[in-house]
Amino acid sequence: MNVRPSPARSAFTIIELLVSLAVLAIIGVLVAQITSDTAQSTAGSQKRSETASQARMIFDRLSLDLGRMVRRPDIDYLFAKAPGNDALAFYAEATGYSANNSPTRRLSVVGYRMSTDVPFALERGARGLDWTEMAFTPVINGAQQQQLVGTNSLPSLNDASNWEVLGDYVLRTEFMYRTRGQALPTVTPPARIADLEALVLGVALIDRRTAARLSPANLEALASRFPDGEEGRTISDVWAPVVRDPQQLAQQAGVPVSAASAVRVYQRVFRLGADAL
Amino acid sequence: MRTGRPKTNGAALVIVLAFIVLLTITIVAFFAQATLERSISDTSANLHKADDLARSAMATIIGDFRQEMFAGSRADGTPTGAIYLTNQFRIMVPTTNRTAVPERDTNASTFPNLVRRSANDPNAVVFPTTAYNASLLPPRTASPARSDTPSANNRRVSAEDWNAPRLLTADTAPASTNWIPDWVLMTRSGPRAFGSWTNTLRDPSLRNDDYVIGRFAFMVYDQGGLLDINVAGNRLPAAQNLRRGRMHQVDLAALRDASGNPLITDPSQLLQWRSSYTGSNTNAEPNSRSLFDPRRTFVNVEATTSATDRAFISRQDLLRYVNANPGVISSNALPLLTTFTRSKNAPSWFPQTNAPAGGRFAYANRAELPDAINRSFANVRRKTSGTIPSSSSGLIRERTVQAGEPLLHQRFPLYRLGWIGRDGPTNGATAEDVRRAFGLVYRDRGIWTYVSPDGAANSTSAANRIKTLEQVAELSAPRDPDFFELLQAGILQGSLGLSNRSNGVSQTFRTNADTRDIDRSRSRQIVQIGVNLIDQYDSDSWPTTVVFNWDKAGSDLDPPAGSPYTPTSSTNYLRNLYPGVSGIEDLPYIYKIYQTFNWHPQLQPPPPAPPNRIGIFQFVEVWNPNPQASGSGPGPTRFRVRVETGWSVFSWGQVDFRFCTMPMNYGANQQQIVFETTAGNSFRSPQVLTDRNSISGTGWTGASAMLGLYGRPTIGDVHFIPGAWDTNQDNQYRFSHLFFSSTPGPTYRLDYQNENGSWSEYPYQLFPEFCWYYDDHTGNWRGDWPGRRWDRWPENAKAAGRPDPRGVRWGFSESGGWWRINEVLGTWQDSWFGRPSYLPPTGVTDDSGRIYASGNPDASVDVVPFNDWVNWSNGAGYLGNFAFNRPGSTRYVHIDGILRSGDAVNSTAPQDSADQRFRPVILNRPFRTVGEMAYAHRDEPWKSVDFFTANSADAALLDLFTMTDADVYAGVLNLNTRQRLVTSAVITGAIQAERTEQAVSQSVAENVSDEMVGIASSADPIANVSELATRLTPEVSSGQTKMESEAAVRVLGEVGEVRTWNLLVDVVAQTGRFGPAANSLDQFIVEGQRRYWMHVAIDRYTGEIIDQQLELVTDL
Repeated sequence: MNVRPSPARSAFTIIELLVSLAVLAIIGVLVAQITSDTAQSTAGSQKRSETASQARMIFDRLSLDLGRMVRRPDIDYLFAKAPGNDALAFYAEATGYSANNSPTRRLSVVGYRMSTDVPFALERGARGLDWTEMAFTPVINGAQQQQLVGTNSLPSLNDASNWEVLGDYVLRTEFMYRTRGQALPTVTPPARIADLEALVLGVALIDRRTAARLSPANLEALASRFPDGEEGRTISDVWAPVVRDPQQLAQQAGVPVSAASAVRVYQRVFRLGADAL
Repeated sequence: MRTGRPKTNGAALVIVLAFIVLLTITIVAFFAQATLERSISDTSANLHKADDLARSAMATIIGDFRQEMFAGSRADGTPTGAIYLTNQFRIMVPTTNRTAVPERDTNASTFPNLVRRSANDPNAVVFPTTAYNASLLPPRTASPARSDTPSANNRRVSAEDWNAPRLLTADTAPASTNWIPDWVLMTRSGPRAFGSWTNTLRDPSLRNDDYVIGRFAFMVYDQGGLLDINVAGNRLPAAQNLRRGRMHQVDLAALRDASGNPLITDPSQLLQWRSSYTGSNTNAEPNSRSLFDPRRTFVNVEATTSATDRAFISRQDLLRYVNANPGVISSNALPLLTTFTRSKNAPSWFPQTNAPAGGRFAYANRAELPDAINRSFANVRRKTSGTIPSSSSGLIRERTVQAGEPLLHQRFPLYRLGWIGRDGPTNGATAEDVRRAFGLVYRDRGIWTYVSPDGAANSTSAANRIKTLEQVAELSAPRDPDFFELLQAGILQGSLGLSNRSNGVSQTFRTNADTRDIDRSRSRQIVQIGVNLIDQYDSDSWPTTVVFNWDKAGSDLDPPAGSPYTPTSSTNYLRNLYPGVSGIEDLPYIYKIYQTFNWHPQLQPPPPAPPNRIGIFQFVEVWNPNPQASGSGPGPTRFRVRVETGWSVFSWGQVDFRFCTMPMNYGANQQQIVFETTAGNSFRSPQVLTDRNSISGTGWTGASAMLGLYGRPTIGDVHFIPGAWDTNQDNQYRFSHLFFSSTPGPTYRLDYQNENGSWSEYPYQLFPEFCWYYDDHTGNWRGDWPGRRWDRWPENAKAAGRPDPRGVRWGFSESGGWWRINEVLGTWQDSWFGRPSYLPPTGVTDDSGRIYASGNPDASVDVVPFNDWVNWSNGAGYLGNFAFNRPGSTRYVHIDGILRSGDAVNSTAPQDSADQRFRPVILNRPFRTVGEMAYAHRDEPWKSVDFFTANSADAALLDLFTMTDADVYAGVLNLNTRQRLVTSAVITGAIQAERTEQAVSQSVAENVSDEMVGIASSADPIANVSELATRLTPEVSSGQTKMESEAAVRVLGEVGEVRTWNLLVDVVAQTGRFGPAANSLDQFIVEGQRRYWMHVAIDRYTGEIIDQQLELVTDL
C-alpha cells in the first residue's frame, strides 16, 4: 500500500503573523476599551445607585418621622441652622430607645444630625418617652413662646445610645423651610410651627468606594464646597452648579476629578400638615 | 492519528461555556440588582405617591364639605345666586337650620358619631333640594367597590381596620358592615365615580384621562359632639364646679354608660397626670394661665420649667393610654371621647322670624338691611380698613382689619365687666380700655358717663350715641362695637321701650306716675340692662350709675319725630332731673307709697280751734326683693328718702309739705327720712318706714310712728264733718283740687350714703310724679276715687305700688281698694293689691284682657305701648301677675306684638312670698358663663334677661358674649351631638339653684340630653347657640323657677358650639393601578398605602380652616 505522504504544512508567513497580531491587538484594545468603559459605566451606575439608595433611605426615614411629627403650638422644636451642616429634632409618634423596655406610649424625640463620632455619617436619634416625659414650652415672663430654634424644652438626645447611623459618606446636610404664604424657601424657620408648611432637605453624598480613596481632609474639602442655603433659592439651586462642573470642583477641593464627579446632591420637599386645605 | 485536536476543541468549549456562564451570572446579577433597586425605588416612590394621594384626598374631602356649606347658604342676589361676597370676604349664611350642620350619613342613627363616608349609594347622604342648591353640591365620587373587598394583590381595609379610631363602637368589629366605605377612584383627571367596570380604567395610554392611578376611601366623624378629654375635668372640689361654664368644670365621673356605670373610672389619676400644674388653680386674672383665665384657650398645654400639665397629643395617643391604663379610662368610653375640639369664638346669630307687628319689627326680613338694629351678626361688614391699635395696658390687642371682613370678629368677653370699678377703671384696665370697650368715662364714685368710644368725652353730639352695628362699621377709624352697642344689636328692639299709653289717648287716670319719657327710650333700657349686668358682675352692692344724654344717645332709636310718643320739651322733666340709670343691687327700694286724706285725733289742733282738720299724709314702704346676694362685697347701709322738690317745707299747689311722723308732729320737719340696713333688718320683706327702722336721734318723735310726708293747706285749715259729707262740699273738693291740680306731683328719690358720709349725687331709685287725680270727662282733674270720695272713710288710705320695686318702668299703680290704717300704726289691713308677694295668692286670674293690649300694635304710630293697665277694679288685677305674663293672667305684650313671659311663667302653683326660690338673684360675683347674664334685671317687672322661653328677645346675647377672650379656643360640645351620654355628663352636677346650690341631677340631665339629641336628629337642628334659650324645653317640674330652668343653658351656653364643624377624617389612600387583565373594580393592584386621621375645625360661615391636626396611622 502506497501511502502518500501528507503534504507538508506550511508555516504562517511573517506578514500573516503581523497582520494577525495587529488584528488581535486592535481587538484586544477594543475589548479592553469596551470592558473598561463598561466597567466604568457600571461603576458609575453603581455609585449613583449607591448614593441614590443612600439618599432615598435618608429621605424615606425622615419622611416617616415627619409624618409622625407632633405639631402643636405648645411644644418646642429644634431647627438648628448653622454654618455648614444643620440638624433638627422634634417629637414624633415613633418608637425610640428607652430605659423602659416596653414603653406604652409611642412617643419619641427624634433627631437628625451629622455624627460627631463617625466622620461624614448622618445619624438619626430616637429617645423613647413615657407618659410623663414630654415637656411643653414653659411660660417665662408670662408668655409661652414656642421655640423652634436654639434653647428649648425638648428632652435631651445627647446620650450616644440614642443615635444610630442612618447614612454614610454624607458630605453635607442642609435644611430650608417653606413657610405659609411664601412661595420660595427660606433659611429661617417661622416663629410658629403652624406656619411651617414644608421642610426642604438637601444632602450631598459620595459613594463608599470613592470615599475610601480619599482622605478625611479631601472629604472635608469637598464638603466645604457646598455653601449654606440662600434665601429664596432651593438647595438644589445652590448646589447643582457645584457638582455640574467636576473639573472645577476637583480643582477647588484638591481631589481627583473622578472623586469630584462621584459627588451627588439630592433634595426633597417634605410637606407638613395638610397644607393643601 | 489525530489525537491532539479533540483536546484542544474541548478546552475552547469549556472556556467559552465558562465565559458564557460568567457572563450570564453577571447579567443576572446585574438585573437582579437593578430589579431590587427598582423595587426599592418603587416602594419609596409609591410611599410618597400614596402620601400625596392621601393629602389630595383630604383636600378633596374638606373641599366637599366647604362646597356643601356653599350650596346650603343664602344668596344675596347680586349677581343672582351669589353668596355674600365683599372684597373677597365670603360669608355663608345657612339657608335653613338644616344646612348649618353637615348632612349626616343614613347610618348615623346606628353610629352617632358618623357624619360621612365614601359611598356609592346615592341614598347614603341626602341633601334636600329645598335647603340646598343642588347645582352647587359636590359630585358623589365613590364607585361601587367596597373597601373591605380584597384587591388583586389581596389588600383590603376590614371593618376592624375602619373602626380603629373606636368612633363607631367601642368593640373592634361592628356587627353590621353596610357602613363600609366604598373606594373613590383617582384618575388622571381627579376623583371620578364609575357605576361599573370599564376598560378605560386599566388603559395607561397617555390620552386616557380615566386611567386610574390610585384610590381612597374615608370615614368622617363628628368629634365636636364628644367630650374633649384634653380639656374636660379639673382638680377642684365639686362645689367649685357647680357654677359651671367651662368644659374643664365638667365632672368626669359623670360620664357613664347607659347602665350608669362610670366610664372614667379613676378621674383623679387621669387628672393627676393631665392637669397637675393648673388643675386646681382658680385665679381668674387675664393671662394668669389658670383654669379661669379668660384668655386661656386650652389649645396649649400650660407649663413652667418645673411643672407642667399634659395632653393627649393625638387620638392614637389616647388609644394607647386607654390600652395601657384600663383602670383609669374604660375602653367603652372611647366612642365618647375626643382629643380635639375648637370653637370659632365669633357670633353668627341672625333673626329667623318676623314679629307679628311687621314693619320695623320684621326682624328676619330686615336682618341684612343697613338700617336694621338686629342684624345678621356674621354678615355686617367693615366699610373701612386700618389698624385697631392695642391699648396701653395690653388688654385690648392690636388688630389689622380690612374693608369687607365681618365687623364682629370675636364675641365680647364678659370679664371686661370687671373693669368698671367704683373708683374708676380696675383690674388692670385703664380709662382707655373702658372707653373703648364700654364707651364710658369715669366721673366720680361709681358714676360713669356714656360718651361712646367715638367723639369727645364731654360731647353730646351724634358721635356720642349708642351706635348701630352699621354705624360702627362705617367709622373711618375702625374699632369694635362697645358693650352697649352689642346689647342693642342683640336684644330685639321691639321688646324695648314699652311705655304706658295713658295720658292723651283716652280717658285715663293719672294715678300712676308719668314715666313715659323714661319708658319709651329703648336706649335707656339698653343702658339699664347693661348697668344691671355690670352690677351683677361686680362684688359690691354699690350701684353703678351711668349718665348719658337720652336725647342724643338714643335719638335714632327712640320714636321718630311726630310720633304721638315722641317726648316733647314739656315732658323732659324727668330726663333733666335724672339723666342716668343705676344698676340693680342688693338694696332696698321704694315699693309703695300710701296716702291718706287724714283725719285723725292727733292731727287736730288744740282747742279752741275747730276739730276735724284734715291733711294729707304719704308714707313709704321699702323692700329689697333680693333674698340674699351670692357675693358679700361692700355696699351702702344708710339710705334716705326725700322729695326732689326740696328739703324743707315746700309747697305743692296750695299745700305745704314736710316730712314728719305720724302720729303727727308737724312741727318737726325732718326734711328727709333716713334709714339703714342692719344685720337684723335689711328690708328683705316690705316695711313701711317708721321710727323703729329709721335712724334714731334725728328728731323723730313718737313711738312706733310712721314716717312720711305730711301736707296741709296753706289757705287755712280744711275740715270735714263726719257723717255729713255725702255731697260735694266745696272745702272738701277744694282741698283735693289744691293738691292735685298741680302737676307733676312730688318725685320721691332714694339716695344712698357714700363711704365718706356724703349722699349719692344721683338717686338710685325714683318714685316720680306721685299724685292722684283723674280726668272726670269734664276737663277737671279730681283727686278722689271715681264714684266715691275720700270723705267716707277719711282715715282710710290708698296705696300706690310698683309692679316691681326695682324699676321705674310704668311708674306705679294705685291700689284697687282701700287701705284701712289701723289705730295701731305701722300695720294695716291688707287688700287685694298690697300683698307684698312676688307671686299672687291662689286662684287669682285675669284673662279679661285689660292688661293685654289686644290689637297691638297700632299701625298709625311707631311705638304702641300697652293700654291702661292701671285701670283695674274689682280685684282683678295683680301687679304680681307680671311675674307670669302669660295667657290666663294679667299680662302685656311688647311693641312688636309678642307676648313674652315673666320670670315665673313656668310656675304651676302660686307661691307665697316666703318662698325665696322665686326671688331675683344678685350674684355680686364674676360670671362663670354667658348664661349667667340671665340673672340681670331686664328693666321690666319681674323680668330678667330671658334665656328660657321660645319668644325670648334676648337669646342672641348667648352668641354675642363669652367668657373667653380668644379668637379660637378648645373644649366645646357640638349642640347637635347625638351622644346623649356626653351631654348628660356635661350638665350633670351643674348648679340649678343659685341660693340653695342644688345641682342638676343625672336624670334631669339625661332628659335634656334626650331632647337635644331629638332636635339634632330632626330636620331642624340647632343652628346657633341662642337656640338653647328658645328651643330647649325647660325641665319643668312643679314650681320650677326661671333660674332653675336655665341650668342647662348656663352650662351649654358657654361650652356649646354649632358654628364650627369639628370633624375627624379617616382616610386610606392607595396608589396602584388596574392590571392589563382587570375586569372588575375590585381588581386594583395596590402599590402603596397611607392612612391619615385628620382632625379639622371648619368655620361654617367662612369655610375657614381654623385649626387642624394630622395623624399618620401606621400601626393600627
